Amino acid sequence: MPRLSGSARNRPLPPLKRGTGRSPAGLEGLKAQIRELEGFGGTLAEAKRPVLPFGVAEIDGHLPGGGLARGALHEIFAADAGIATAFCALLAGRLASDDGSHSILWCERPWALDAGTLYGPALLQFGIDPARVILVRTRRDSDALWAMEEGLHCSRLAAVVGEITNMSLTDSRRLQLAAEQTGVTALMLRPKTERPAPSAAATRWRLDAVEHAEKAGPGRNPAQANDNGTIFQAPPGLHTARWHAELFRCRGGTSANWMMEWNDETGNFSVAAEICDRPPVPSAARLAG
Amino acid sequence: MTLADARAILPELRTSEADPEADNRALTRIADWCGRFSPWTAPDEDGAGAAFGGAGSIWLDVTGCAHLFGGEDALMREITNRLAGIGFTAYAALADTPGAAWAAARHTAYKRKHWTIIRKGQVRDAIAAMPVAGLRLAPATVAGLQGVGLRRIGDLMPLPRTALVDRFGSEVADRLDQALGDRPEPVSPVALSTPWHARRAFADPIGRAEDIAEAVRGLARELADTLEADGLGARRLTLALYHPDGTIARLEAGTSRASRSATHLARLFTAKLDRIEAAFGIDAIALTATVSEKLSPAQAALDRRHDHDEAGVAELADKLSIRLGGENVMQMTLQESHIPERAIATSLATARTRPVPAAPWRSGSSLQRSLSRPRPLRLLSRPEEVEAVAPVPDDPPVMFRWRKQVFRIEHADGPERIAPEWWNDGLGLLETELADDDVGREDGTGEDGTGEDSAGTAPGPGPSSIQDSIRDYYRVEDRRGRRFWVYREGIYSPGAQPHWYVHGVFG
Repeated sequence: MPRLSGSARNRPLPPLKRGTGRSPAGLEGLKAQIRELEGFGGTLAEAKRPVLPFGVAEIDGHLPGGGLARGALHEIFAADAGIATAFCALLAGRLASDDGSHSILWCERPWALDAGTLYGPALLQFGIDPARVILVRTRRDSDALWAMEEGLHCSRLAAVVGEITNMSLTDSRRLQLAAEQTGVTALMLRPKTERPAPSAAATRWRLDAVEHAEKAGPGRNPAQANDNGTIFQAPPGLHTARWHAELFRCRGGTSANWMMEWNDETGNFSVAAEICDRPPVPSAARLAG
Repeated sequence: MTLADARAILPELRTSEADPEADNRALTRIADWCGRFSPWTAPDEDGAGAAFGGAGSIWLDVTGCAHLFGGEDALMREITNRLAGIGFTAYAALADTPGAAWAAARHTAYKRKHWTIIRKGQVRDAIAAMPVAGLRLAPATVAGLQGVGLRRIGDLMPLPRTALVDRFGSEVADRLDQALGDRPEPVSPVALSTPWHARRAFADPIGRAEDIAEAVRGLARELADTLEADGLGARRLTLALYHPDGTIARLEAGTSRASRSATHLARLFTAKLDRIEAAFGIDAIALTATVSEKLSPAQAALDRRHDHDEAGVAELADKLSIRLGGENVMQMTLQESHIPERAIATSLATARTRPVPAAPWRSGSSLQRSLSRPRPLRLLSRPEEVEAVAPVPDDPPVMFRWRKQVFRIEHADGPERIAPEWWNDGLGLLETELADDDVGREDGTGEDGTGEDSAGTAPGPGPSSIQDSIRDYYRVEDRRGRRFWVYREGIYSPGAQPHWYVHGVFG
């Protein structure tokens, strides 16, 4: 059952801790039964289903099993194309470096997100070896879905990423089943939609940029003079990238949202505690001009 | 005899214009069709045409093929019967040399059967009685020979070659030597022929999809065995399906990695078999490895896990290429170039020549340096011009309008100046992508020019064009936190309106 994003956004942070030990045994049994029906085969802990930990306690503690389920379908909706792609690349890169096999199948549809094509050199920042990416370019959703399913049948891949505009519940079910069989993780990058149609994905995310707090006035930065003697405002440098990740559907878990900070130099990311009125942290050794 | 004479004798005579080109096309088609008997077939180009009475012929090299049909006699019967079945009256001759076969096919007194065989070692005797026209000579030469009483090929044999050459040129002597096998006569086959070939003919045409698929699997096994014996793996394959009506359906497939796995080779084609129109069935199938590569058995034994990975992924790439088209399944390779568009090249996943080492660029220092700079995750295929407001001379924009949206810039990094490659005279620019060979030529001419008149100075259009095409890239973040890669084209000059472009988005 997809939750509306509005309710999830209003949820206070950090999310509610779910006390597993205190629940009555009957309820636990019922939950396990539901999870079995949902295709996870008992509770995640019991099934020892492999997960990909984010390495951030807040997120891992919230996700069932302590991380993003491997061998499952995850949907990432792109409120911002660049950030959603980065989130996908980050997850795919971690899956690839964890696995012995590094190959990734990326079904690209530049028309789906309308923000250009995947740029190989940038993938290195996410730990992805561009030479090990099989890039498939298709015009139709159906072809991309077929390619994804074929990729999921190949257990040698670390991850399958697809950029898909429209997908039926049946399609998502097929992908989820294929992913469960081989244990290959499927990531689906989808364009922004107001009301996403239901799908069988294990988690559904919405990735957006984090809006800046309104500034008090323009005089925050020291003015500089250039050769001509005119005065201008130099905008401050970029700090760590901040993403707003909203988990609006999580099978076996609840929805939540986080502010993530991603450091493109170290490849680490963390959850930002305070967003408003935080001084920007200029990252060291930026371009000197 | 003129047409008028002929019509006088037989008024209801039906005539039509000669169309040598159509004849040649038909011959080529028949030669193609004859691929069912031997992989090595060719239309006879020298010996066809009006000079030889309009009769065309086709070469078949049946070395080592006859036993598949139950001997030479059975093969010849099969060839003539099949050709009769698709509406051609054909005469066939089998001999040790092409020249002898050519002569025998035209100058044999056929009775019931339409074929003749000159047994091994009997060429000399067999053709001695045939007229000199059997040597594929021009009509004038034939007339000349007849004029001096040389009517049969046997008449030429005892003559000294030098006398023949003096009198009639080298043609007669050459053709005679070719017919007798004293001089080799190469004939090039119509289709590329390789020894890695498997074929199967059926007594009755088969039409069921399962039967065809099963036959293809059998052929794949056969071919895989042949390849294994030679230590090779197939890279390109052709499957030819011969229909009883004389048409041939051909399917091509490539593998991204040399393979001789029978199941893999068969799967390349079984997926495509539904495209084959098999209304009248198929009476022969041939599978050929047109391109093959060394694939030593040791490769499979060493480093097993890695090899398996490669194989699994390569087979996936093949499968995707078959359905989606080879050009849509790509592989990225980093290039040594500081120009963003050139830093990455895509190549067909199936055209990969060898497995790529894990990370070849990490050792390349200049490449590494350029890669340590932040690059957008998604690059627009073509930079899009935006209306930007930016302080002069070289500051990032404070706002820009792109795709009808206004972006107010809060943070910016840069600039990173990316200049065109100086060795390209400012021509190797970012929009005007030159092909590699063009770049090479550009290099050559540039050197020549500067060497002659102005050694040491920049080439002609140098400074201004390079300055115009320099790009100053900024990473900017707008108020909503979205990050873009924008650049200003050219160096600031007072009075000129700078052009700003968006080139990519960051994560």
